[in-house]
Amino acid sequence: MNRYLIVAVSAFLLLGLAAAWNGRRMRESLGQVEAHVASANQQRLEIGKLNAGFTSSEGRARPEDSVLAAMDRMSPWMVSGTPGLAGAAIGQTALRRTIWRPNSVGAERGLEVFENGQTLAAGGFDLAIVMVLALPLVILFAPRHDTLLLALGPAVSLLGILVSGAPLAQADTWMRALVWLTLTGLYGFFWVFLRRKEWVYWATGVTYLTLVLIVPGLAVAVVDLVVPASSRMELAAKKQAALLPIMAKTSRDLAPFYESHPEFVENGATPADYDRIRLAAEVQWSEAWEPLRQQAEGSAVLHRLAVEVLGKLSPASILYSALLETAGTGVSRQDAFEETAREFGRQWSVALRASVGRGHPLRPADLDRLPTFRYQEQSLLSWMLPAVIGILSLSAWVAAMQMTRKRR
Amino acid sequence: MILSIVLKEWKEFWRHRAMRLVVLAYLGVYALSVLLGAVEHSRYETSRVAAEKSVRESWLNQGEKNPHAATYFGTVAFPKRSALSILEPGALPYLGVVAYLRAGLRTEFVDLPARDESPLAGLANLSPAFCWQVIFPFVIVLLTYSALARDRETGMERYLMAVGSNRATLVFGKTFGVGLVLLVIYLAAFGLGGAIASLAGGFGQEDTSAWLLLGLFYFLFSGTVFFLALAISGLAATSRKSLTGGLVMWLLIAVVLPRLAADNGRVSTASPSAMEMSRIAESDLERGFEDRPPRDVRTEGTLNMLFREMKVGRREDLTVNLPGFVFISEAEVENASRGLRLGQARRTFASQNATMEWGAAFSPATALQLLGSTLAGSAATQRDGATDAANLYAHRMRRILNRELAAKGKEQGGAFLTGKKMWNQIDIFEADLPKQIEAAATRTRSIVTLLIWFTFTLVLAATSGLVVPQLGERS
Repeated sequence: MNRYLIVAVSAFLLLGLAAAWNGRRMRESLGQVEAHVASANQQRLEIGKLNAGFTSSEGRARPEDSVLAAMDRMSPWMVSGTPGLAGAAIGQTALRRTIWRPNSVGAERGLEVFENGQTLAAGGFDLAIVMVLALPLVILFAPRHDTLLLALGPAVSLLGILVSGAPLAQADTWMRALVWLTLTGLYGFFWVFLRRKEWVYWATGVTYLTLVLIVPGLAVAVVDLVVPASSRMELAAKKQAALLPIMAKTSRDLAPFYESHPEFVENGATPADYDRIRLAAEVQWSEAWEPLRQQAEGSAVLHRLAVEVLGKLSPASILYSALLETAGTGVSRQDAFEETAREFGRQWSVALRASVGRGHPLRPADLDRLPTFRYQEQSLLSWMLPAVIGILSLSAWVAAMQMTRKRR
Repeated sequence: MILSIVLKEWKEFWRHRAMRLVVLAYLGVYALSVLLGAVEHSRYETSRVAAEKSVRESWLNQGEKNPHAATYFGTVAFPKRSALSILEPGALPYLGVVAYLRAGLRTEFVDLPARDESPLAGLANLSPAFCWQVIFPFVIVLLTYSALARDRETGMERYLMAVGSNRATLVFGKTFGVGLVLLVIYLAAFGLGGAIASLAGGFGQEDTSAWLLLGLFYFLFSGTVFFLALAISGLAATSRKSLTGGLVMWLLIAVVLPRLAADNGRVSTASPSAMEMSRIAESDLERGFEDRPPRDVRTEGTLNMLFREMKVGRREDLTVNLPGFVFISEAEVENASRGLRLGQARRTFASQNATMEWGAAFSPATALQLLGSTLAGSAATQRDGATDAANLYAHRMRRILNRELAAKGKEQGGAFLTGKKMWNQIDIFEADLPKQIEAAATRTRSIVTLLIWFTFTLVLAATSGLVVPQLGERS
């Protein structure tokens, strides 16, 4: 075998393994969030129980608390689990994984990522990036040995997935890995069919640059220009404009409680009064806020969808999107989690209202009736659909390249 | 002789139609990226001004309220962006654009624009900075790979040596010839970018100085890539090997190593997760921190302090509003906790950035990323100024409103209301633009690294061109 080919293949293998090793480190670091959430929930429950007056051994019981205030201190934080294939495609897990919390009207995004923007901006080095950017270079510039070059993507992917710390005991991991291998295999076919003997080097280079970097970049830029996501600043201003009048109405009713301090209650008002007024205000607020939120989220979804559609003009962007969705580090897994969190929020609010209905003070039996949040892995359909669209789109590109090749 | 070679290279390059197209295409893509950046900047500024106006109106017209209740709904702050961020958006998509200035909330900028973006933006975002850091180096490799290797491959080098040419003359002639072409592309792109950004965003004096410095760093980075590609061309036996070597160098310098440097930063010192920050903040307030006692003890302390000062023994005898004083004291504690924890988080981020900056030793693109974003005021650390200003503003707002309650709310307590006159006493929030030149001056490690890279690769290119052809001759 050509020595030059051996060097190229070895270099690609090393790059893939280095990326997988780096991904493994990043995946472990991402996993810490779940431990923090579990620890914080434990602490919240302890403080909440103390304040609800169940234990007065530390002398810090606060039995005068309203049911709402006590439950607010105990409500659990929710976060999605770290995806099994996150080590292969870190994607935007650190950016998108928000932490949610149930409240009296459902669930809300409580905390955003607290990350160093500088490191996020540089992007991550993972197997997905190696497949998208380096595989075409090897296929285009290494000596021709089609069988070996076609096998390169799936083979290095498989090794990389094993090195990246994916949980191999789970069937879900293997199914996702299989889709991953199919995608990289098709991507390899595309570049092999695209390659032309008569092309001079610079023409091959320009083709690579255009398809891998310029077209995906243009897709994002053009959609940013034509279908931008709605401004978060304007949304905040609208939120403020909607919130203040609603809260002005309840301000007089909540006056004896200094807005949210039932511990300083005055004029004979009771914690039960606080719960009633507060709950009514939160329902009103939720009714005003929900359409604004949905509009903003809808605009972001439309924006991302437009990028996805336009991104089909480049096999590189098709592969990148599909690999992230397959690994669970794209958008669909977080969306699925948020839907689960909202559903849990609905259950929580029903239980909470029932506790409020039973009146003050909160009893241990009330706590037993509260639902417990358990993270559910996204459904097969929610990640398989974008992956299959990716496979079909890549197949279309492969077929197109094969046809032009035959014609020549 | 050198001049003749330079002129020959120059003429040959421009005679090549495909090469002219490559250059024009690159300049077109670059101009487009600057235009898109300008549109985004203008859209951001319009949106910010409109949102600021709207929240101010909401604040002034919020109706009568208990002053403490007003602190719960507060107001909202939005950060400014420099005009130069059109060219170097840096970390801006990953920095929040909204800070809710309210009681009981950690004041920081949330709502990251990148979260609404497609994940595809993580692959390629076509910003002007991306063009300089990723696309232009690729173009440099394409235009340079054959500079020395092809003559060796075709036997032209031996021929020229046989007719009396000096090797140094050949190498320097080639270097200056290709370098001149690249210099023209560099100047055209740099000038074009500056002109469009200046027209669209209105450069101030700071922006202009920062832009000129940015030009110097682009020059050093592009020069480094050029010399490396030239060195590879000088070392490679064939132009194909030269191109492959150049592309591997590009992949490492522009893609792999900057990403790896950032990941190293993140892993070397783990960021405190939002959850951990929130848990610590809750614990601080409830259980106390450093020399601050738990909440109940603090409330007791405030009550005792008022008893002593007013020389009374019962709550009913106080002539001031007790909750008002508790709120003032609690706000101080919250502020101290926030300052302490934010300071710890910032030290973590600073340590991550330092690790990332060390990565520049392996990739000059990392140094350029850090320097470019800092000069444009779009580095993550430069948002700290706006965050501090927002925190200070929120703290002052709470103090003014809680003092009003403490002083005047004794009789009516929570029912004490205040109105527009009070709301007018709270000024509008306005954060300054981030310091650009001053902040860039602190990035000495990146500046030195970029200079070392430039000098090292210059020497490497010269030596490889002069020494290695002997190997070629042997072959």
